[in-house]
Amino acid sequence: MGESSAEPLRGTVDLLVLKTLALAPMHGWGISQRIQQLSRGAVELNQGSLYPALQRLERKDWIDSEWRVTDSGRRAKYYRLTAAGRRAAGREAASWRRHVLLIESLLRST
Amino acid sequence: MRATKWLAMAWRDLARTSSVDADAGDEMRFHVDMEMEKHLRAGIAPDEARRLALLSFGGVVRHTEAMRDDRVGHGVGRLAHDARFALRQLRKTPGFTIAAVVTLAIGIGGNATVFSVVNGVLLRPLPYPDADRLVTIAHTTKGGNLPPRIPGSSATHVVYADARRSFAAIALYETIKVNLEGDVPERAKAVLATSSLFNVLRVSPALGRFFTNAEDQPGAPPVAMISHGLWTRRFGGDRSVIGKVLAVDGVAHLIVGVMPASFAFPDDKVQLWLPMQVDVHDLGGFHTPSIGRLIPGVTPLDAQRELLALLPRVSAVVDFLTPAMLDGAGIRPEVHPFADDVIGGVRPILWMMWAMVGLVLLIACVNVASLLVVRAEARHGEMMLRRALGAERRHLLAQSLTESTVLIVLGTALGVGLAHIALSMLRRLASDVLPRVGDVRADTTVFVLTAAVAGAAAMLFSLIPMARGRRSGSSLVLAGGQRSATSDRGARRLRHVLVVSQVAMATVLLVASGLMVRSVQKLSQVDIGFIPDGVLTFRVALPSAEYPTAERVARFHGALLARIRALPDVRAVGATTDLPLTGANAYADPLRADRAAPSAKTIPRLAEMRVATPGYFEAMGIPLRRGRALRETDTDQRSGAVVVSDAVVRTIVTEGDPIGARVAHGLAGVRGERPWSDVVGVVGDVRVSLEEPPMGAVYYAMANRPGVEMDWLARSMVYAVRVRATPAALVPAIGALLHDLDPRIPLAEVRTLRSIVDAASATKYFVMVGLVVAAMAGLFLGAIGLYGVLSLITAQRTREIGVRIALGATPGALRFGILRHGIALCGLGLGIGLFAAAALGALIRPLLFQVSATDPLTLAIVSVVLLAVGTMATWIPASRAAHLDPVRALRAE
Repeated sequence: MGESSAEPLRGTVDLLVLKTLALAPMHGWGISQRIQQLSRGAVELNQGSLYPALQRLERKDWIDSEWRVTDSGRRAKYYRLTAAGRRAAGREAASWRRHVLLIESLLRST
Repeated sequence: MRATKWLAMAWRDLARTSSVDADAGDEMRFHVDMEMEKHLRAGIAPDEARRLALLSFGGVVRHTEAMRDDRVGHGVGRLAHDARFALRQLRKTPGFTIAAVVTLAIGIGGNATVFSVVNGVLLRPLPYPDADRLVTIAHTTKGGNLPPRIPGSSATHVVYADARRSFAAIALYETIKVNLEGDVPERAKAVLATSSLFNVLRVSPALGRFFTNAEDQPGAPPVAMISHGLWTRRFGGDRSVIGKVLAVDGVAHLIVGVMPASFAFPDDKVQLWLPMQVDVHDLGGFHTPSIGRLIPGVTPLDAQRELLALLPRVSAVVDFLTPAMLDGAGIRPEVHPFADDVIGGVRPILWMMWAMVGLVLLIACVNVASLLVVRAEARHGEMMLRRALGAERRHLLAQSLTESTVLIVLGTALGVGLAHIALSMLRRLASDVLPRVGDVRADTTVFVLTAAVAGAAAMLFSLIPMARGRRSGSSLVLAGGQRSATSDRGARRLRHVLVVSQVAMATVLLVASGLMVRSVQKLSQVDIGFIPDGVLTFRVALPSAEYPTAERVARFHGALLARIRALPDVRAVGATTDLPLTGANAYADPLRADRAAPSAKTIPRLAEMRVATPGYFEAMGIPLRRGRALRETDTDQRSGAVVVSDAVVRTIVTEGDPIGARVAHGLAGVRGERPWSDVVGVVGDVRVSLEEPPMGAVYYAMANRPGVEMDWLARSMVYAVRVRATPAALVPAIGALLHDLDPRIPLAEVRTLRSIVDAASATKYFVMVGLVVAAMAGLFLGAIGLYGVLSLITAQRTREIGVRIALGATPGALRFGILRHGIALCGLGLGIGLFAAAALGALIRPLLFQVSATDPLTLAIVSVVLLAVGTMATWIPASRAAHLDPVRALRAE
């Protein structure tokens, strides 16, 4: 656990998970590692946020899950993006960008 | 999410909680394992790697639980869990649970009972189509010599028939009693009505047809419609009854129709309906009730206006009612809903009863709320601990709500059971007091309302412990234990408010019941004018067909009286037209007197017209003031002698001896104007009803001076037999005597005079009993509330009291301190309650008799009773505090 790492911003976990799964189906631990890698350790995803988020997304029908055997021969639950999830990921990302621009312009104006 | 998928997930989550949890657990474990392997790969020792992995994960169990809470369908599962938990909690404290459930049951049961009655008697429409259009046509007067309200008349009926803008139909009806002959002759209630009655009521016969206009003409052959009850009882429900003959008062009547079982006009005791056969050449005074059906959109006030315009025409159809006389008496038509006549008298009673049981329910709710507050105090620490351990506030709230709901459900179930018992008792006991009470049921409406009340109460209750739970910070409570939690000032104030409001409501109940007790007491002190104990009464009615002349009527009654007088144990026997205190039966007419200046403009004061046989005053114990009573010879010689009562003396003579004065009933100039009768004696007044001052009566002999025919009254006489033994023991002997004289005549209305007197105050007595029960319940619950709160306060102050004892406080001083606390609360509640009772006085005033709504004696007694009960409720906790062992008290915490 790096000193500089931070919890992801509230409300962004779903987007991060969706984005991560857009590459390939993955299990929970893999998702957390992936996010850490992509953010170069800047984002440390708490398991208490990750698993409820996965459950939430599954309930929204944005992701699917199935138990599969990993390369190392262990059973793990893999999550996969659905078509609805793919569309949602695009929407969420666009909305996030708008949000960032808005905050940015507000910060600049003062 | 698609509904099917949602259902599937909900099902999976609910049905297989453990396997879903295992699923989640596996996933978590996989995560931890992977994390550990990562550390191993980085060259960390296995134990340390595992520790780091777990540390970063933060507890498998916690995450599993967090995910479980998030899962679909979890709410339902939690509810069942909460209900089970609540039941377990309630079972752990049986004292609290029983107290709360019984308290709620009393409140809810009382409400369900009274609301069932209100619903069945007041709110449910009468069983006629568009019953709200049925109106009674009566008349108001200026008062004075006439009662303020008089019914319709055959004269106005003829005139009002032209009020076509307002009325679809108008009918005249009159309730009478008739003899029905048969194997066992019986006396039955019947209604004489114009044929238009069925156009007014619009109820179809179950069998046959109504009587026609032609059959309603004077001289038409007699026909009858019979009730469903009479049809099944006397004809075995035989459908061929139409066209059969029924002997009514000795006259053969052709049965033309049978009414349905639900038809009860004007009440359910009526057995048959006969055509009134109004003779337009012989129209009478204001004696006959009239009912009409309004045209849609017409208000009673519109109808009243149209009738007022028609009223002067009455003088054209009856010569003795001059326009000046109508005007002088201020007679005006008055139209009001017929339902008011059926239920009008009991409306204030029922509203008040409802208000009172409402108060009892409030007290009960406050009591349960108090209990819950106390319980919340006791469990405050537990709640805080659970919060600190991570229980979410909404879960604690949900659980508190579930617990209250379980209490409410149990209380409601018990309350509805109580209501059923109370209603079945009420149906039997109150049939004389409440109209339509026979049909009162706790139906769906009642259940829905009761459930709504109970639900609202549940909401209220569950908020109380939570409101407490929110305020204090958890760290403080955990650090300080019970001590700091319970000395919270807000909580104490809340408890005080609850207790004071309970005492105030109990005060209102006590005042109301106290006023009713005083009213009933006043009623029992009314000088009824006769001695009611040891007298048997019954009615013997002779049909005019079989006893056509005054002589034959007089001879029959004379013979029966002589035979009864000869029975052993009979001290005196006599007969009259109607007994005192039996209400509107008494026949009254304006009375003229020779010594009072006659006036063409005014209608003279009314006086009862009665027939009395020799021995009547003696049998009743009515005192003879002066002169003599009526004798056998007055009948034999048709002497024209009459006896008058005190109230009449005051109107016929201003001074001097009333003996020798002359009086006559009825207006001068009427067809069949009666000649003068001579006053030979004066007797005490008797009352027609307990609540009205006596009207005064003129007693005639059975057969009288020509022109003063009394056989129409004398034909139906009530006998009064004063006996030495038990009155009822004489009934078989008298029945045999009557059967010997004429087997067709029924022995009817057998009652003791005492039961008639009791029935006269039955309504007030009923209200009194109801209110006393409500007040006792209120007082009892209020006392429990007071006791509970003071016990708690004392218990909380155990440590403080211990210190004070250790420092030398005497038991007396300690007891006094707590007593003062309790009595102060009580006194405050009492004050507010007395004020509220005075403000609500208007509600009970119509039910009172000779007692003011702020009767000082009642208020004083209520205050004493309440303070005494309050002191008693405080005494036990006060004594407990006074005798506390200081060592144990200080160790208690």
